[in-house]
Order: sequence, then C-alpha cells, then structure tokens
Amino acid sequence: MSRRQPLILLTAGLVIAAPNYVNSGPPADLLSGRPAAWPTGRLAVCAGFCAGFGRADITPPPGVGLAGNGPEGKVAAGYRVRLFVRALVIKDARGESVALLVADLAHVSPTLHRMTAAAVAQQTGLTADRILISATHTHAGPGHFYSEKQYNGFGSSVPGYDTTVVHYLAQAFRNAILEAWRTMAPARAAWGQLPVWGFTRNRSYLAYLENKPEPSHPFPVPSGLDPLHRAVDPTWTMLRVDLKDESGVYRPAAAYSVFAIHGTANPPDGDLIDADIHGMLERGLERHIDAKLSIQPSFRNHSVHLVANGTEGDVSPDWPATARCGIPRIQPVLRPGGPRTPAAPWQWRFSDSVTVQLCTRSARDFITEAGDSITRRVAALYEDLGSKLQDNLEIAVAFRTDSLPGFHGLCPAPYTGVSTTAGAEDGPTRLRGWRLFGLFNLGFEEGGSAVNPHPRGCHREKRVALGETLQNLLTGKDALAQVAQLTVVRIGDLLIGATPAEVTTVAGFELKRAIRDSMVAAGGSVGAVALVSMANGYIQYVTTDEEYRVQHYEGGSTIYGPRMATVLAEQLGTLAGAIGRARGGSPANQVYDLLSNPGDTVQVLPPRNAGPPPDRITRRVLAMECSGDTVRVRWLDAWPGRLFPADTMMVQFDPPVGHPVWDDDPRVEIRAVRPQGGSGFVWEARLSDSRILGRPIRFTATPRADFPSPVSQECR
Amino acid sequence: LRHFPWLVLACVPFTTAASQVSLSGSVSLATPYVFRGVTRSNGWNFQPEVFAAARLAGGYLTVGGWANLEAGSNSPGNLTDLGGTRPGFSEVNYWVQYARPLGEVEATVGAVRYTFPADAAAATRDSDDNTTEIYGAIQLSSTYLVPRLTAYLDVERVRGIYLEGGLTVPLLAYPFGNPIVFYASTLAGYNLGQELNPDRPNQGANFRHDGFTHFDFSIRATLRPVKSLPLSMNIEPHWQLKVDDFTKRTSPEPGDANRHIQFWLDVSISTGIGLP
Repeated sequence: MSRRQPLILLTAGLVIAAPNYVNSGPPADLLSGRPAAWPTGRLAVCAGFCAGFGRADITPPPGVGLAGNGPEGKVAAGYRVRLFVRALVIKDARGESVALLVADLAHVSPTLHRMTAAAVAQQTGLTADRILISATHTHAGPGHFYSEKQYNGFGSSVPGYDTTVVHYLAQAFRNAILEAWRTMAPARAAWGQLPVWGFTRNRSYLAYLENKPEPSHPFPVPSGLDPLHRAVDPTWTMLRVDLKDESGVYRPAAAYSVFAIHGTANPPDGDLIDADIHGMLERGLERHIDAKLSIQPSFRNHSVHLVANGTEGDVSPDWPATARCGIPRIQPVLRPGGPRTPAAPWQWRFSDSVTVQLCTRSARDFITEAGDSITRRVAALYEDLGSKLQDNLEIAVAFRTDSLPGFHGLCPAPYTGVSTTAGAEDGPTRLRGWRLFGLFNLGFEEGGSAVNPHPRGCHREKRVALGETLQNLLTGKDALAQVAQLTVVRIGDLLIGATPAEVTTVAGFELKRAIRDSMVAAGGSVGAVALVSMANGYIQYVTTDEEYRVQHYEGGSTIYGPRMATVLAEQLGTLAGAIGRARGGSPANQVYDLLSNPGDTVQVLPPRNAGPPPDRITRRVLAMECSGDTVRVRWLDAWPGRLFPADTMMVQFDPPVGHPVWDDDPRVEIRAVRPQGGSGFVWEARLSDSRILGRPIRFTATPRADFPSPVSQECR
Repeated sequence: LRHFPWLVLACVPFTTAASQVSLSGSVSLATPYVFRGVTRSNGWNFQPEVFAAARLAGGYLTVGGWANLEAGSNSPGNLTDLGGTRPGFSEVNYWVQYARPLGEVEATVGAVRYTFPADAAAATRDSDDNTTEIYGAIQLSSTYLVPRLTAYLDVERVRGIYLEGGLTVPLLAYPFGNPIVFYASTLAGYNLGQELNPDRPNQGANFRHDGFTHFDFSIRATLRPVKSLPLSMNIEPHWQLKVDDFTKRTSPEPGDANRHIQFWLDVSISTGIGLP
C-alpha cells in the first residue's frame, strides 16, 4: 500500500507543517518508539580551536532498494561492508563552527539535511547553514529518502519514499553530530594535498575532449599515464585533526578527505549493501591511525576518516573489464503451451549466477587492491601533516539556497536527456544501445542520436527523454530537483566548496577557480580549494557547456541545461567573496524554508515488529560448512527489522590465529535467506579467506539486546 | 463488426515456468476467427483451451485441447463452420507438444488432431473434415530479431505441408516494475500441397493454390494492468495481405469475396496461477 505524500515544508530549524516530521521535545527513537536519551556531559565547553568526531551505523536491514543504478539496482539481500555516517565538528577560537558529515549513501537529500539540522539545533546551536552533509556515492546503499518524487520513484528498483528510512538516517546523522559535539576537545589541524593517479579514469572521455584547450592539471602528470587516466582531477585533499587527550597531549584522531571517484567499483548486479571503495578508504586510514595509537583492531575503529567525494561526475574507479557482468536482454521465454496458445510475454534475461559471482569477485579484488594502495599514499600524506598542525585555524561558512528554475539563465524547467536512460559507462541500463528493429537508433546511447540535431530552446542539444510534454505527464510537476543548497567553508586558508551536484572534472576546475578568484578579489588568501559533490541535496550532474553539447550521460543528466556550471561557479564565487569581504568570517547566511515533493509514501524498511517476537525464537545454527577458503553458516534468528545490523555486531568468526573477523569485514557477507514459518528467519554468513584453509574456525551469532545468548559452532 | 474492427478477447491462464507439473486453462473471445489467413467465422467465437504440462529433459511436454465455440452469431451474413443458427462447437483440437531450448534455439515438435463436430446440414465443416497434422518449429533467440519457422504436415485428409515463417522484434520495452513490451511481428504462410487436388477430388484442401497464402503484420503490446494480480494483457492489431483465393473471402457478402487486405485487433487478457 502506498499513500500520497503531501508537499513538505522544511525549515531551517524545526520542521513545520510536516505531519510525518513533527518533532517536539526529546527526539524519539523513530524506529522503536522508545525515547532516546539526550546526550550527557558537557556540551561544547571547549575554548580555542576545538574538534570532535562522531560516527553512526546506517546499515539498514535487507529489503531496501539499492540506490545509484536507478531501476537497474537490486533489492538488498544483505550486506557486506557496513554503511556509516561520520561527522567532524570543528569550532574556532571566535566561536565559528561547522559540522562536516559524510554518509555512505548514493546521495543525500535536503530533507535529510534539514531534519538533521532541526534535530541538533537545540543542543549544539548548529543551524542548517553550518551543517554540510555529503555522500560517498556508493551505489549499494538505501534509497527512499529523497526530497524529489523522481529520485524516490526511479532511484532504485524499489520505488517509493519511506519516512521510516528518512527518520532512521536523520537520527543517525543527528547521533553522529551529537557524539562529535560531546567529544569536542582542543585540537590541532593541518591540511595538505597530493596527487593520486592511476586508480581513476575519465568515463566520458570524448565529452572531456570537447573542452578546448585541454585543461591543465593541478599536478604534473606522470609519464606513461594513458589519456583516460590523465583526464581526471587526481587531487586528494586532506584535513588532519589531532585532539588533546586528558593528559594534555595532542594525539592523532581523524581526518577529512576529499577525492574524486565514483562509488561504482562494485557492479550493479550486486545485491548486498556495501560501502564500495570508500569503505576501504575510510577504514584504511582509520586502521592506520588506530595502529599509531596502539589500539588493537576491533569491530569498530576508534579513529574516524571521512572521505567526501570530489568532482567525480565523469570519474570512475579504474575497475577492470571483468568487474562488469553484462546487461539484461529481453528474450522469449520457453513456457508450456500448444499451437493455439497465445504467445507468452518475453522476459528479461539476466546474467547467470556464476557470471555474477565472477564479476563481483573481480570487482572486490580491485576494491581491495586499490583501497590498500591508495591508503598507503594517503597515510603518507597524513604523516606529513603531523609536522604542520596548528591550533589557531579560523573557520567561516557561507551558505545559500537557490531556487533553480530559471535562476540566472538556467532553464525554466528541468528535464532528463535521453542519454540518461542509457546509463553511464559504469552502470549501463538495459536500454543502452537499443535500436528500433535493430537498425534505427532512438538515442539510447551517449552522444550520437542522443544529441538534438537542431538545437533550440533552453535545453539546446539535449534530446529530452520522451519529449518535454510526455516527460511532464509521466513525472508530474516538480518531480526533479528544484533547489540547490551551496556552501563554502573556510578552514584556515583551505576553502571547501560544496554543491548538491555531481560535477565533472573540468566543470570542477571552473567552480574551484571561481571560488579562488572571488576570495582573492575580496582580499582573502587561498591556500587550496576542494570541491565536495552531492552535498546537502542532489541535483544530478553538472558539465561544462562544451561537454553538454555532446550529450553523454553526464550532459543528459545536467537537468537545468548548459548554463549549470556557469551559474554554480557564479554562486560559489559569491559565497567565497562574501567570506573574503567579511575578512575571513562568516557572512550573514540566509536559510530559507524548502518545499519537498517526495511522491508516494511506501513502507520499505522492515518494521521493528516483523515476525515472531524474540521469546518465540530459538536461535540456533542450522548448518555450517567449511569448504576450501570459504565458511558458510546458516542460522535461525529474528526477522529483518527486528535484527537491525546498525544496532550492533551480528556475527563473529574466530580463526585459530589472528584477530576475530566481524561482519563489517569485506571478507564477510551476511544475507537474509528466508522466513522459517513462525520459528524465525534463516540468515547466512559467508567468510571467504584463503588464510583459513584447513583450519578450525568458530562462528558466533553475537548477543543482542533481545537475544542475550550467543549461538556458536565450530568447524574445520 | 463485420469488417472493422474485429476483436479477439482471450483469457489465458499461464503457469509459472518453475512449475514441474502444471494444469492450465484458458478461454478466448474472438471475432473473427481467422486461421492461417482463412476467415472461418466472423461471428462471436469462444475459444477455450486446457493443457497439462510437465518439465521433461529441460523442456516442456504439453498435452491439451482447444475448441472453437461459435456463439450465436450464425446469421446468414456471417461465415460459419457450424452452420445453423444455434451456438455450438465448430472445431475441437487435441494436441501434444514437446518444446525445449537448444542453446539459443528453441525447438518444438508436436501433433494436433483437428475435429469438426458439426452435424447440421448447413455446416461447412463436419466430421468428414477431421484430420491430423504433425509439426515442428525452430525459433532463434537474439537481442533484436527472433525468427521462427514452423512446418505442419497433414498426414490424413488434406495431405501436404504448410509452412509459416515469422519474425518478431521487440520495439520498445519499459523494463522496470510491471513490464510493458511492444513487439512487431511479420508472418508469411506458404502452402506446399494443402491446395485443391484435381486428381483426388475427395481429398480436403485448405488453400486453392500452392505458394504464398498470406502475409501478416502485427504489433503486440503486453502489459500487466494490475500490479497485484497475475494478469497480463495483449493488444495486437493485425494487418493481413491475402494471396491465396481461400484467404480472400472475409464474409459471405459478395463484396467481401475477394479482399486483399484484412485488419483486425486482438485483445487478450491472461491470468492464472502456477501449480506446484
């Protein structure tokens, strides 16, 4: 059952006129209905330059649609590397503060941003303009939280907006900020940059080449690097923050990084929730810092590494060709019948399970290797920054909200191009390359027939998918993004610009140049500029005017037409200039109320009372099989919904040597298999690791709140 | 309703492909009833079908029956096999078929028994016209074009071969949620021995001459109109170019005795439940 979601008014602070979001008094635990405790301890009683870090698990139970690959994405059957939201809150000696959050999601929405702001305003004084939430862009996280109907409807294979998902995520964001706020301590920080070449490539190279002259790179290009791998912004920007401990010693604590790489190292065929390559990059540096602090590996790392995405619009991880499984094909299906039986409908034929297994393994091998290699380089930068730490950095934030239709020459209405329906190179849809009668191209491609041969109107070269009239009819009014929340944050002489868009490499250069030039023109100094994508909302892609002309996937997804990059550059420049004119401080930021149009509301997240209650479930191991390098365990437990991965650890494997392996480890997969009558739900855990060959290993389904008894078994 | 538009409405239960053994039934409402280009009845026709299928060696072995019930439009202005003015079964078929995939090819073999139970004096077809065909078909699956060739050999009353070659291409497919798929199909009928045989005047005939009998072009849309029900709908307009003289007669009217073009619209609604 679904029901219509009314337009929702989101305000700067509390949510008003929103029946589902009304929140007064202490925030409730929106999933269980239990009241959540207010944070305890001293709040923000920290003088000088201070920082704090927080983290909250946002891994949902199986059943949600995996967002990022549109309707081609799978329904989550379980999870592999858990999803987190990580938060860094910093405050300078003048009292200026900002909260930087990075969530392991495909995108974030204005709804999430404003709800989070409303939830923390009272305790922290952080208002919406002081909160910057961005997404890593993993394509294996949940959808259903968007402010726009189209993204809830087509963002995943499970259409619909789920207020429970929204509340679940917003509450986790709130918890992460409050944890950071609670743990604020005197801090020292330093930023630095280094080039990371060779792990990313431009997936839309022909469009990139349209930029004349070819853009110069911020770092020297290594000799021998091929053109596709050169056509990216390789800049890794890192802010290292050390915190003063109780003994008065500053110790490594965490870092905030910005790097351009799509969260698409996994193939779209995967059906597991997964943090993708960002999960490796986050954990890699966290383990490095933990090791420096002599902290033993545990289920949850102690330190925190936020990896925000940069100008990744046209930048893919350099996954090997074997990491893709092929797209579905529509074919006749053999069905019973006779000579008079009406023809059965054709069906989509997907890659077989063996193919999916092989390409998934190939992708994971790449993720592991690239994650390790990048982490080694990034750890070196982190170490270099240790000698540059300062405790007197100033902070400033400039923020604005723009209504996009017709704004400064943008198109009056947003439209999706036909090339968008074909999908990007990372995640082609089944329509990509489709030809009428196998002969006539209908535009389901990048470039070519996706380009309007007679450019006219505001959208110019964009051939609008289905035409403007039909697209309006099918999607309805305001189904695509209507507003952009833009931010420029100054931390010392590092400027971080943030847009809700996926910005291509060269468009990113334009935006960063605008920020720098405006700040300099206003009398400010600039050490470096980083640009964070998919922040505080989602407005799809932004290309340069030249790239737009050839209508690759990114151009077709630049929904307000060819002036998007120009307008965003102007506005980000305005924000940077405002900081400069305020002598490095924050200008007076206006935070306007927003309307959202999320479309039909459905219940996607399994309810907390799903299946039989805990006292009617006897947790037990049903089967355990050790074969080669793989251990496979099936056990009986609660239904998804009652068994929420985000609540705590689910399983642990104890090998005879080394530390235990938890269910956040990339070698472990957890799947919800099937309900078993009224006696519970069958789950499966699978550990694949060549180091366990022929060795005894113990599996434990760990105790949880309602299930205190562990379930354990050993096999060899 | 005599000429345009003609309508075929079918309710066809379908079974799940995963069923090991299944029993299915269907009923269709059709007007006119056109078979191999020949307009057999242009009144209202109910066409029930039942069949049982079993998974066998990677394919389906199916046994079933199909019938055409002329439903009371047997006025002098309509073509009819049954004759008379009362409703009744004009044709009952029994068949057995085995189909299985062989790589990208789907192969089918089967036999069908045609019976005509009419006993009215005005009947066009009666038990003397009962006959049997064996048939085989191959269909190639590819991304765009799916060709199919079927050969029917009448082994009893008519003798001779009838060939049907077809080509289907999916035009557009809305691939997500409840799929909507549009197909275009062309089909050509070719007669090799089922025509009138002056040397054996008692032998039955389906066509006047050998060679091409008719060409058919259709566009079919399949969709599931109700998400929560296992219901699918086919909408399929046909344009048929008549070649053989027997196919050109579309009604008893003198003006319809030699038509070269025929158009009609098939609308079928399919539903059903797979059996374990």
